[in-house]
Amino acid sequence: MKSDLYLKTSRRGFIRQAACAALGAGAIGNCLRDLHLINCALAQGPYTDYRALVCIFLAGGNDANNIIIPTIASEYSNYATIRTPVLAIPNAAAAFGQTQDPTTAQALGPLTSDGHSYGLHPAAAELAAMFNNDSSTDPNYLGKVGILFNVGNLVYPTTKAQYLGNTVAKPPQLFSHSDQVTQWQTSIPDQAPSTGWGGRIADLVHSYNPQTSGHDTLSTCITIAGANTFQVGASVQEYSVGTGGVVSVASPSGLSAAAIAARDTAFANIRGIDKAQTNLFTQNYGLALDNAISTGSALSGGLSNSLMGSYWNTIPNWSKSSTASYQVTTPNNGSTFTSTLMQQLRMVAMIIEAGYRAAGTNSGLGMSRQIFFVQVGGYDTHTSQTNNGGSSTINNAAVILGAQANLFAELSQSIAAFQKALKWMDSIPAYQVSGQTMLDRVTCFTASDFGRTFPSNGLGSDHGWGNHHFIVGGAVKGRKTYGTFPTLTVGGPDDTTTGRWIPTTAVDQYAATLAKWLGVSSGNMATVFPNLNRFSGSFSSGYLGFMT
Amino acid sequence: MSASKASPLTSESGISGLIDTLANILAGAPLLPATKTEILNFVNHKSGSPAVLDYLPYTTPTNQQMRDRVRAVIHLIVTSAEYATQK
Repeated sequence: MKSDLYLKTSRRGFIRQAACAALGAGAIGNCLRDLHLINCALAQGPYTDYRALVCIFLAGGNDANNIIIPTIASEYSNYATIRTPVLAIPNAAAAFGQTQDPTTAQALGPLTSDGHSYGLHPAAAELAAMFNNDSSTDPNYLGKVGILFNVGNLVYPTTKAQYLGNTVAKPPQLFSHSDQVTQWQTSIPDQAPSTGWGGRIADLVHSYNPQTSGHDTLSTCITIAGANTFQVGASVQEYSVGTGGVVSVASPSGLSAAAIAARDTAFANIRGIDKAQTNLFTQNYGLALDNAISTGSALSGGLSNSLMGSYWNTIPNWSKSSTASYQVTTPNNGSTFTSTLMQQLRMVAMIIEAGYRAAGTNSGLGMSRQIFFVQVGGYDTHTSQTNNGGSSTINNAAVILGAQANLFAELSQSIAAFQKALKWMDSIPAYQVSGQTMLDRVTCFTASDFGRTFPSNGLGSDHGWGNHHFIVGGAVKGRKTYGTFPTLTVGGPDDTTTGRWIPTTAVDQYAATLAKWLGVSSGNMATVFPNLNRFSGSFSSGYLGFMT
Repeated sequence: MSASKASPLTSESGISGLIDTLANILAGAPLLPATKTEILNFVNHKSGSPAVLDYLPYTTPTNQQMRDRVRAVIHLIVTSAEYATQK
């Protein structure tokens, strides 16, 4: 019996992976897993505009302690005292408005948010420039940037005393990658994971997107990074595409066109047989496959009939035909590498263009709401976070080099390239709507497993908790910080004891702020975020208030 | 499964057994008769079927053609619901 069970279990796991990988349809596995065929679009919309959320997941746990650096002298001293010599980024050498030294933190514009001043890691110069330029009439404007401090998974608001005294429920398995990623993406750390908050939003808004033969023409949730928890809804399932576009059901190599057509006929006939079965799993598998193929066909049509095809093919560093595409220039002596994040965001931009395009116009999909997921790894910087490992030299220039500099350069340059593509869409007459730009319609936000320890572990940093994040888009109330910057003291009021910040803002609040902007109504907030009422903020005030 | 080992199953008369064998390995049970017929029609020699262009000659298939038959059967089994649902 044991071996039989083992065989069945192994086969099932293999099937889920193989089916999703081969068909590019995470929807299939998730459909089988959930089979919650409910449709709970209540009191939403209809929407008269287009909006999209783009989740940029920094896998591994980003050390945001080094992307946002306090620059007031006394506060920088706290930072440098603990992070020197391995991790401390040199303080901003030039004040805001002056030419910035590329070897020091890049000064952010005068802030009224919390009375402090900050700089960004020098590798994130594009993000710093975007943060500082919030004038939509400026030729270099690429959308606004807000920064949210010390946000993370919480079951309830938690003080240090409560944390140490175990007097309030904590997210289970703190500091564990897989658990914290799941909790971040569900926003319900105290319940077994079943759906993600992006998926739950999609459950509410998807019926306002076009339908074909009783199903969504294109899923509201598109992932360029494979299956994820964030986009799993009760009824909406993520649709997975690659950086090259739709992943089709591949034919065995060497077949003639006629044989491929015969294969497609056999494939369709088998799906028809499956759909006619009384077994619900079999029936729904056939249906999910049909929908995935139909979706792929619709999206392929939308992508291949772009109104800005020349842009995708000729813009430097974005063209698939160029051997120099998707290159990130690093601070490490100007060397370059090919960015997976840039490729993913390029595909998101292409799908946004196809999705926003009106149905009936060049195979446009006429979408109203879309939610995207991209992911880039390498953020688990236990070692080689900088090139300064082992050196005792304070503020050695090597600290701005190394793995983390590459990561931040990739993030910064990829977001800037994505925003440029959105801005370019406004030059297409068919996309122009008075008073609103494509930059206004799309909001990117970063997420990550957790933050990292403030003190160095010798060559890098270890798993932490609260973290800082970026929100980018024309609808962001930019050039501002939100939340509360932690007291940068080991053993201080925000520290668990080892330099791990206890979040002062919950993922729920962060997510609800974005959800409201996307169009979730007040009455549905508790459905999407069942723990939200444990934390401060209100629908009428826009929760954290970083969205217009 | 190598082409040589599969040889008895990849001749024209052996295709039915090939489908059953692979279905047992991959899906843990025989396929629905209708599904098996669809696969058989695609892989086996059927007059007028475009598949004939790729899978001829059926009486003395080459190693490549034997492999193609096995691959075609696997392809249609693993994309079916019977492969994905636990029995």
